[in-house]
Amino acid sequence: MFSLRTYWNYRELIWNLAAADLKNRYKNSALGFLWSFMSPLLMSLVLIFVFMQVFKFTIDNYPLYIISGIIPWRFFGYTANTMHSVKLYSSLIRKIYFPRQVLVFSACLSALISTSIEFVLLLLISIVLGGNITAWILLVPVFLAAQFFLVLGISYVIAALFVFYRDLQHIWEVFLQVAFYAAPIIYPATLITQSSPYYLVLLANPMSHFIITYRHLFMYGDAPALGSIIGIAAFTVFAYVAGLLVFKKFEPRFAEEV
Amino acid sequence: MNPIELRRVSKHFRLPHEKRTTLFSVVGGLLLGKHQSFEDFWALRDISFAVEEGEVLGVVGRNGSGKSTLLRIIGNIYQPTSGTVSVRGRIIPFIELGVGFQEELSGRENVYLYGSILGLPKRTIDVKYNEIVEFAELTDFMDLPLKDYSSGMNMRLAFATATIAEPDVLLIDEVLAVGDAEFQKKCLDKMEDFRRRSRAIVFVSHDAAQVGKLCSSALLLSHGKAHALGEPSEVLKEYESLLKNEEAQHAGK
Repeated sequence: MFSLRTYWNYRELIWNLAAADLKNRYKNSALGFLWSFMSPLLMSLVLIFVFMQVFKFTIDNYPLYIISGIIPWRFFGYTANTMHSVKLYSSLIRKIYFPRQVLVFSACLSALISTSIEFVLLLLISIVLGGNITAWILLVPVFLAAQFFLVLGISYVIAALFVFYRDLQHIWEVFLQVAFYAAPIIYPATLITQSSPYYLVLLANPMSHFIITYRHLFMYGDAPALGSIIGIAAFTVFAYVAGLLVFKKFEPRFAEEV
Repeated sequence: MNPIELRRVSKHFRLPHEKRTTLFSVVGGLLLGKHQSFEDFWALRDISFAVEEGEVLGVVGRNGSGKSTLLRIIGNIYQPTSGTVSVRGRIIPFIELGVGFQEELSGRENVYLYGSILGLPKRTIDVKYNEIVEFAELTDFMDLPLKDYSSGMNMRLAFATATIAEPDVLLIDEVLAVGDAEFQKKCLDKMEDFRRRSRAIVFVSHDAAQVGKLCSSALLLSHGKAHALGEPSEVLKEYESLLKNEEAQHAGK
């Protein structure tokens, strides 16, 4: 049901592929991970400077506000990598059978592991910058698991389509940029009121709900909003089920196309 | 039930004359009302056979006769266009050795990765690890990344890992030519070992002598059709005369 048994049966292959992916990404060193963490940190610094010094934003603790938005966003940004997961293993696909979902799942698993480490750093940053850490922080793994299945569902669709359409890479990059600005990462969600035409865009972006929720847990230390939780549940279930269906439809043709 | 049974299997490929690999060209093609033209190509037509318990089937034929497509259909890599395929038990295809090997990973890590691709549990690999390393003659090199291996070392590691696979049905696509003469002999011994352990083997080759030596029955493919099926000696004779005929045709042109 929902391929959960497939993941379990192929757990060792999934784990080995995810480990290989991580080792390639960080070149086998802790320093490699720190380097990769520099880019969101530097980006945050630039944004903090621009919006505090140039535009005079007056959000409470704006540095933490930005960072607690950008780091959860990165998990979504990893779809630019997971998109390649099927295509990347074309030689494998043409020569041996195994359920191809394994490839996408392991790519998303490696993104999940990276994000988990980044979340630990986010927790430390929050403590340093004076965020209010309470028992609500314990809910982070639940939302991280939900985000994993959302990213997995999206990755199923784009990884399958990427086998057939090479320019999807560029289209997806633009799409990610748009989605980044359509989520309350650098501006406060309250800036967009319910009467604004952009309010629907904000609601329709699954990442908005995640980022607002993570800020409650990592920064304000209070309960996440029920509306966000409903949004997260709905988007996650839909993305995962739809993604799996699309992937299974294309899967038999992969070996002939890649 | 036989380990492998194919009933009236055909495989059709639709090859576009100009492949559209971008959304841009697909949308563009739709807007401009341009239709894509295709070449129809039947890689296999109406193939039926069974491989019985303990049998080794040799498949011979010229390049492009459909041998590799047949192997991929049995191995569940391609879906047949029509007909049915039934295979009992775990299939291990050796279409290429060392598929999934990664340059940046060490020899040891690649053994585990390749092992899991072949469906072996980690525990089995743990137990057989020393055996693999010794067989590959790479004891001092297992912590080096694969990019520092020579191609011979690479193939030896791949073959050594593959030998611990536990197939019910083994599919082999001309991978016996690995390493130097001494290593080749070790490989042939391992093949004997596989023949005893597995329930059925399908072996694809250009090399008539190898098929004659290893196989209990043979299939000759020509342009995707089964030209002859039966005793290896008979089928190989057919293969020879087929090659001669085609040569004569070419000479006549």
